[in-house]
Amino acid sequence: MPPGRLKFKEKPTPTAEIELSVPRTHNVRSGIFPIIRDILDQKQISVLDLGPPTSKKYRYLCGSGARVYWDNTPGSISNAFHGPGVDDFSTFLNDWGPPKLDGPLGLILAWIYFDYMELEDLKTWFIKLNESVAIGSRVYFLIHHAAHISDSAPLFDVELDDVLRYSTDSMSREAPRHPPKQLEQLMPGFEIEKLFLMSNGLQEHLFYKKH
Amino acid sequence: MWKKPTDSDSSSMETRPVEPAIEPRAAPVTSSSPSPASPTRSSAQSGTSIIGSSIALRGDISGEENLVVKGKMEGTLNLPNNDIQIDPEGRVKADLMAKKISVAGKVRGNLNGSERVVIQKSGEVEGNIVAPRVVLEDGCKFKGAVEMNSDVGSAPKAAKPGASKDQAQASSTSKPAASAGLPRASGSA
Repeated sequence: MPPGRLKFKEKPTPTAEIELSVPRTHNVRSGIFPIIRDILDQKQISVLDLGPPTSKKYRYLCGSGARVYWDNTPGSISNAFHGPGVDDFSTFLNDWGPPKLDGPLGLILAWIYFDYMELEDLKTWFIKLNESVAIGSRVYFLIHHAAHISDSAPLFDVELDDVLRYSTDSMSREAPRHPPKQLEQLMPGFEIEKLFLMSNGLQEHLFYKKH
Repeated sequence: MWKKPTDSDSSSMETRPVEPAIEPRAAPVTSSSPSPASPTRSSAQSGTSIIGSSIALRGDISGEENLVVKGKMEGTLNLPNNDIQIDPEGRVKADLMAKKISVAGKVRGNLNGSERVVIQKSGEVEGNIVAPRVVLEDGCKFKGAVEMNSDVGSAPKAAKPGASKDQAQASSTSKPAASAGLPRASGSA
């Protein structure tokens, strides 16, 4: 054999298959955001948005006079879901703390994050959040009723006409399907105020702190 | 044909200092901390002062000119009738008050814009924002509270139930979508 030439006795290893994640954008009309807007119109409240800050959310929420708290810096929940991620979410949550506030939070926008948290983590999160809420505080969140959910948490935005915009990737994971009653038990003093099943299988929840 | 330079020609070329294109002004900004040399440069044409990238300044700044911060600044910035721009290399630990504030660098402090506050993609802000219009560009980092000051009448309101999308958009800011701080690509189109 001439130097510099190799002879393969075995077949070369086939190229590994790469699964590509293809994002898909969704628009769906919310049934609870009109209620939220009425609440915001009635009185100026503080809103904690666990998602990242966007101009659309600013226009929607601050246009009604709300004071909105955002955090997407390292160590924030937003960064954990939409940034580089965290190795151990439970450890991350132990270090997490709600923002330092002048008064209680009127509304917490938790979007779809409960679908991506274990029940134990949710319990820890609510205990931490308890010092920032009061009677009359509300929590808004979404739960997916499909068997599988997008592998990474979708990032939600809201338009002025109450349409939610978000995108999912084609890679999926099994949905935890936390039942509302179970979530209610984890949230001390909170009760279900409104549920709304949207056309795409996402269910909106609005919980209200009654005592 | 080549002409030998005369003595008068050579003297005019050699040692005379060149006038800078950006002319330093005596007091484009005022600083509470005395410094031997003026820390800022000012463009006479645009009325903009610049804190250069090699400058670190501590104190309070107020004035009637636009300000671009490329260096480090600590204290307060009060330019109520002008604009403040923090460039990507700018590092500011101060409360900012201006007509328009644009942040592409890092700011730790409260931002009060009487017209608009823009946090650009590379911008990082830790503090509270009060402005009638806020643009949060995709990828910006922000920690704090945002409030729309209601005393400025141009604040957009959310559309009433049943309003068409066009009506709703018309009631919002007229900025094009591309610069209106769209969410991340993973979040929406």
